[in-house]
Amino acid sequence: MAAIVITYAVVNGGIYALLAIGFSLIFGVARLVNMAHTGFFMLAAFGLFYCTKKIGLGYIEAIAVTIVVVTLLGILVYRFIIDRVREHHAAVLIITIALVMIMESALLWRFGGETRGVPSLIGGYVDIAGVRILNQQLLTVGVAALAIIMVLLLLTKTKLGIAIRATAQDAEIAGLMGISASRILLVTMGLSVALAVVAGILLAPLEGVRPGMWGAPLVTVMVIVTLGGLGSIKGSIIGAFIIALVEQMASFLIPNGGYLTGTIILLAMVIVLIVRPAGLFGTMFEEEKL
Amino acid sequence: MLEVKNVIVRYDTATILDGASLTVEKGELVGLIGPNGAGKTTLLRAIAGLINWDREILRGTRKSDVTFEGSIEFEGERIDKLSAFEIAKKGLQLCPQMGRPFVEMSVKDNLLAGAYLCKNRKEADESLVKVYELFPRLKEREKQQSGTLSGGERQMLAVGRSLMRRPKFMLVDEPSSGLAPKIKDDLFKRVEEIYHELGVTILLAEQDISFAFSLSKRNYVMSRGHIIAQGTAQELLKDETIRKTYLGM
Repeated sequence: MAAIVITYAVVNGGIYALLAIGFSLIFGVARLVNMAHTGFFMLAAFGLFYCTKKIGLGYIEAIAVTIVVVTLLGILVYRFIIDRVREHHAAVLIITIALVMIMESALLWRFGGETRGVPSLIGGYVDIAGVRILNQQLLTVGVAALAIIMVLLLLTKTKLGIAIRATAQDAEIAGLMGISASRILLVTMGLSVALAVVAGILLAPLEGVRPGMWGAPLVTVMVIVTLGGLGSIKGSIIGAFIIALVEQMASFLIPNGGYLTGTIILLAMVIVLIVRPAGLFGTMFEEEKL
Repeated sequence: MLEVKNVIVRYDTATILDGASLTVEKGELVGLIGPNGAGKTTLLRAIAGLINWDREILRGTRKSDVTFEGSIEFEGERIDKLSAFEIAKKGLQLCPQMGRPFVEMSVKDNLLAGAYLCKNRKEADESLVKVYELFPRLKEREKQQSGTLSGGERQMLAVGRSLMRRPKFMLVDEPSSGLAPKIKDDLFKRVEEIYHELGVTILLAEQDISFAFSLSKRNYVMSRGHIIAQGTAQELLKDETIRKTYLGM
């Protein structure tokens, strides 16, 4: 049983990590709490469903179209809606909640409310230590790991990454270095949405698509980033796997525990916040930021 | 090279700059002195485009506003409507008060952020070598998170970071503030080196009169948002009212 719990925790943890990194990244750079973040994840899952099942595109084409279209949509939404009210944090919250609800109603109207299946990219399974693991799950873990490593390399080793981190810490001083905050925010939003899109594409074949699928992951992601420390990428990654493990353990150890996972992860978050208000990897120098 | 005319800056109803004007020629090192609250920092921020930035981030958040009037020309071009990053691209670099390093980044990454405007990796690497020569202490602390640096090291880092992209003109805001005398002397020598050896034109805001006077050939004295006098150290020291009222000596 332990093997099953760990398998599912790793698969879900990978998807959560992708979502949490994106959420944390745009918060860290723009102090922007994007409630529509998992909305883009949902659109990506539906994009894959629509392209493969309705239009009949091949898998690779469907993935490429979904990534490009949904990421572009995210950038446009940022540029023409969110950016206008960027410094008004309450307005950002309300507008992004409205956006994700609009996305949900649009999908309900177009596709109806039932869960639809999406074919796996690769079929079959392997047997590891007596646990049957779908190849699609292995692929999910591999892609998630690759995407996480690429984001980390981008942030630490490239000129763009340094500019993103500088803007996150002090946009005013970054401006003095010749870094345009607006441009960096736009790029970061694109990166953030692209990560949510990858997560959606990975999840769709495992769990199917449904217009309400943004809700539970959004709560989970918020728990993860609060637990890991808002704006901390390392915290998001580690937090994602901790929460995925806690969820799986809850549903396996408690009879009918499936209903309680939300409660348990929220409790875990509350406890961590009481002990460490800044989260596990919360910033030490917060007071020096503007 | 730099011409500031009648700059007025108001936050809500508080007037910080009330018609400040000054000019700096290419190759000069000019001092900007005056007591706390005279408006030195605000004037430098206005030149570097940060008043426009304040306006941008206050946009939509509250009713009150930032007023910014007057004209600022750099190399014959109006820059007062530009954003900070556009002004930086023209070769004008503000080195902010208290250093303001990116505290969660390593010393090296701070310097690389300063190299954002370098044309390529090679140019950035060359600048890095030069800055490390100027401040060997930064090389020692290369991998350290800059939030853990001492006040003097932060100031060195800020000056080094400003130099990375080889600016034509540097605005230096109170480099000596909060530093111990010995560290001050050292920093003072470095600023002199930057001026003489790298040929950077400098406008230096200082509260420490002796620090400013020993470096600059010409000075502006600021008080309550105005430039009230200008001249060499000797000229300013001769005028008794200025000496007593504004220089405190």
